[in-house]
Amino acid sequence: MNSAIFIRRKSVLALWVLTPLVLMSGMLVFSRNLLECRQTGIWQDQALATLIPEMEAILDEFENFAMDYQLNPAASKLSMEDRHIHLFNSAAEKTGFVISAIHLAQDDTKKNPDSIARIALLVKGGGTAAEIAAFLNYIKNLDPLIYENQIQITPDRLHRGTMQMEAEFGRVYLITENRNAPPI
Amino acid sequence: MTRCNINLGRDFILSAVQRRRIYRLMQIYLTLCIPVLCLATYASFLNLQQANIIRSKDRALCAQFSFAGEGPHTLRNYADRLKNRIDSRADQAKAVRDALPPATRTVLPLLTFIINQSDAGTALERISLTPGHNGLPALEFSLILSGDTKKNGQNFFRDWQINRNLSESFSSITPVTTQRSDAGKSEKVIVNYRAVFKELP
Repeated sequence: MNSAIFIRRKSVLALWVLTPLVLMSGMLVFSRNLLECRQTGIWQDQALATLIPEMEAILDEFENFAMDYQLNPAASKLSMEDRHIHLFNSAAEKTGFVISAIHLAQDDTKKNPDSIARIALLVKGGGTAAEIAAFLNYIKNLDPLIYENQIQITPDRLHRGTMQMEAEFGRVYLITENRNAPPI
Repeated sequence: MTRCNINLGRDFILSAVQRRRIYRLMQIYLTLCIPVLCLATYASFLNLQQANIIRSKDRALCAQFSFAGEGPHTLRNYADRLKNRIDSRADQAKAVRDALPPATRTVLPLLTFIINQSDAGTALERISLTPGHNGLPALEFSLILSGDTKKNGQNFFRDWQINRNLSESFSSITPVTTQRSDAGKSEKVIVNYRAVFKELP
């Protein structure tokens, strides 16, 4: 008893006193922190589990929206120009509208020029008012995203009962090089 | 020779009584520490057990999603990737909106309406759809009214007002100018109209 080191050395005494305290607090702090960390994690995951289906639904809506505008030059067999010419020609064939000129031009898009293409489609032709209406209707049905920028329908002075149409249509495309994007 | 009996360290050494008291106190302290340490160990064990249960629940939660088993923080990683995709798509949608004209309208309802009217002494003379200054396109058209021009003109207005497609597309129609011509027995009137498109919500 008299020779106990902690009696002779204060540092050993302090060690004896502090060791149990440090052990206790260390164990409690470590386990408490771990528990809090896990609790925070599961709260976050529970919140995410409710959010993720909503996010997936939003993404689906965006994907569907983008799909209509997407143009993948590598995947499509026809070029953009050929596709539109084919569309107008088939519309003209079906409706009796006579196309005299088609001109396609790609507008400059100031924002995101690499991913957005805006096409101006100039069409000149003639037919009766009903044929013109059918032609416009057919194009709208084939591609509802083609919009009318400018249209002039005037009487054809040479052919009685027919009219001339000069129309500038527009179409916006999202250019995606890789349609099969990696899964999320 | 005189024996030197000076103890220079006498003030530094505790007395036996003091040493005994410290020893006893230490014994009491350590005895008290044992149950407290046991309690602390038990509490820590409970915490660890609870943490383990929570981790199992978290894993089960993650397993509900198809990407389970990809590693820790899967749900958060997946949500991050979803967010990035949504952001990217939102940027694309914004770019499309910027590339499109402020308002796009079609002459098709008007054209169809006029074609259907042509039996009632109304024929299309011309249509002009041009980009307007206020974002909405400007539409002007001319009609040839023949026969009873006054009655046909009134009928055109009446039919315009009850036509659902036109009332949904246009907010107003205004006759701008009128030209009269007598071609033989029948009178022909060319009326130029200006139609204003409705602003869509």
